Amino acid sequence: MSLSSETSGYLHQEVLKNARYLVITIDKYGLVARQECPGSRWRMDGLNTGRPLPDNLHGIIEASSDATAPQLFPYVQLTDSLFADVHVLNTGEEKQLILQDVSDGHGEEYKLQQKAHEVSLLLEQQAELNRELAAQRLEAERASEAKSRFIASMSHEFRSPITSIMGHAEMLKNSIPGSTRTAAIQRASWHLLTLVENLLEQARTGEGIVHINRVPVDLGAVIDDMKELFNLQAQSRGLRLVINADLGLPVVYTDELRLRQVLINLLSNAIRYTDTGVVELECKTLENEVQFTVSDTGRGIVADDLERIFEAFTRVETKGNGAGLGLTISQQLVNALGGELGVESAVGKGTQFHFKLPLHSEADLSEEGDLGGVSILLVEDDDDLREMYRIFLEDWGMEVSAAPGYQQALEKFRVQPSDIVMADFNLPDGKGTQLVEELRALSPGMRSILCTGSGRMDDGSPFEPSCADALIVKPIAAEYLRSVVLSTLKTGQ
Amino acid sequence: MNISRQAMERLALQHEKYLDSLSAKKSRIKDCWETIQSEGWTLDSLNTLRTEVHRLSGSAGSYGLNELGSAAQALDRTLVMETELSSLSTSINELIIVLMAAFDEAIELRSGTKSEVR
Repeated sequence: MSLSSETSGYLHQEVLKNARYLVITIDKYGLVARQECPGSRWRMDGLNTGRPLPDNLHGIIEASSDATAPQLFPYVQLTDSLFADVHVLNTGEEKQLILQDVSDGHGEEYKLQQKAHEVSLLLEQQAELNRELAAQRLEAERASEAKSRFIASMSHEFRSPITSIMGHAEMLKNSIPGSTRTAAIQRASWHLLTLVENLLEQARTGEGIVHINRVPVDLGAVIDDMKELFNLQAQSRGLRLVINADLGLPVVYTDELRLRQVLINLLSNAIRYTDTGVVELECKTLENEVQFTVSDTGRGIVADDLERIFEAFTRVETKGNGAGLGLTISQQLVNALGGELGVESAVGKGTQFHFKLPLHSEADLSEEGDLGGVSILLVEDDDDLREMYRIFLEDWGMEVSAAPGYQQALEKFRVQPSDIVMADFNLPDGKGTQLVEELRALSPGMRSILCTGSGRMDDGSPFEPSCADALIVKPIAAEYLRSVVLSTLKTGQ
Repeated sequence: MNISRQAMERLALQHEKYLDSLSAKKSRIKDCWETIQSEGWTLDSLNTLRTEVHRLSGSAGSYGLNELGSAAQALDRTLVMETELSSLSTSINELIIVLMAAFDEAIELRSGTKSEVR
């Protein structure tokens, strides 16, 4: 495009009139020779004839000293609020700096740049925090894993010798009827076992990791065992142990180990804090619940202490032994089992602890779910049991593969992995837990069920969820088997 | 729990088979124990006894023979104790006697000379 000289001249005047320009001439000595302001009045502070340029502009001169073509230095900050594009022209021995005020436009752009910079810094900080958080989470998970492994190991290490002592004491009791020494060994063993159980439970529940293993529990047998356990203890303190249980107590689907632990804690306390009279264990069936009550004619608890008694490591009496964990653990376990532990007490008259557990009938066991086409590897060395399970599982539409031992199971699984494996804990050529671990490595999505003869592993250690996805206790009823298989598969979805 | 007629028939046959096997199971445990009593404990005899009793403790209850299962469990718990079993021979003997009685009761059930309420 070519403009006429008249137009060009007019444009030149208008631009100069509306824009803010400052032209600074620098002599060959680098000093300000003159400054001119075409258009509007603009004088810059710190700019004096015969003096060097301010530092920020002097730096620009240095940077452009060798340039022959005009140089543009955009958005140079002259003051806090003054920004200019600086054009540098070399005109022989002199240089000319043409400063064009871009403060208005640049101000906004500068603010945006500043904000972008701040946001960038914040994002960096956040990323760093996220990295630290991830590292700490990993550390915490590792620590938690280590702690779980330690607890599992300690469980077995503590229980094995204690169980052995108790077993021998039982044998001695049978061979030396009426011996007070064997009775003393039994009492001390039970006390130690209870203490160990409570400590380990506290370690578990401190991390919120109470795992409830619901199995059919014969309440009559549990009550009978409590009588067997505590009759002698009560008698040795001159107390009478009364068992008041409904005839024909139902089978309840609950965690037998945890229920026993609660009753042992409550009965131990009742006997310990009762000097004369009676300790009573009552078990009654209500409409949809079963109620347990442990009461005594003991010293009673001061009203102000009734809340504190459930705090960990708190004992409201200085006499007697105990770590102050029994009631804390009991409350946590009852909650986990679906109940609530209540207490009433009067000083000098006695104390009563009570809780209710929901009564799950066999009809509540979920039969909903289709097992058709689900493949299962059944590992059981007893031919009779293996055949019985096969009949049920096949009747439910499952594809059953069976093996009598570890190695055969492993070989079959390698050829054709199954969706779920059900293995006996004790196999003739290895442990069911080890087999599950090996099969999991081959097929990480596989679900697993371990079979034992009690609510524990067959070596006495408690069931740890890391061993398998579920534990099933013999004898195994069909409804129970189906329910466990269905729930195990569902948890894997 | 509903199971098919075919499964019921299979279960009935399996149940009969199990009851028929009781005499043999009883004999194996009895013979093993008599060997231990006369020749002392060996690793083989211990393993044989443990295996037989452990299997019985798991299966008897599943086939509705609760007393036999309980007797086997009591003996099973004693046999897995990590101790010198020769020191427990008296107690084991008592438990074996209880187990044999439970076997006899279950075998009588098989022969139909006694009824049992499950």
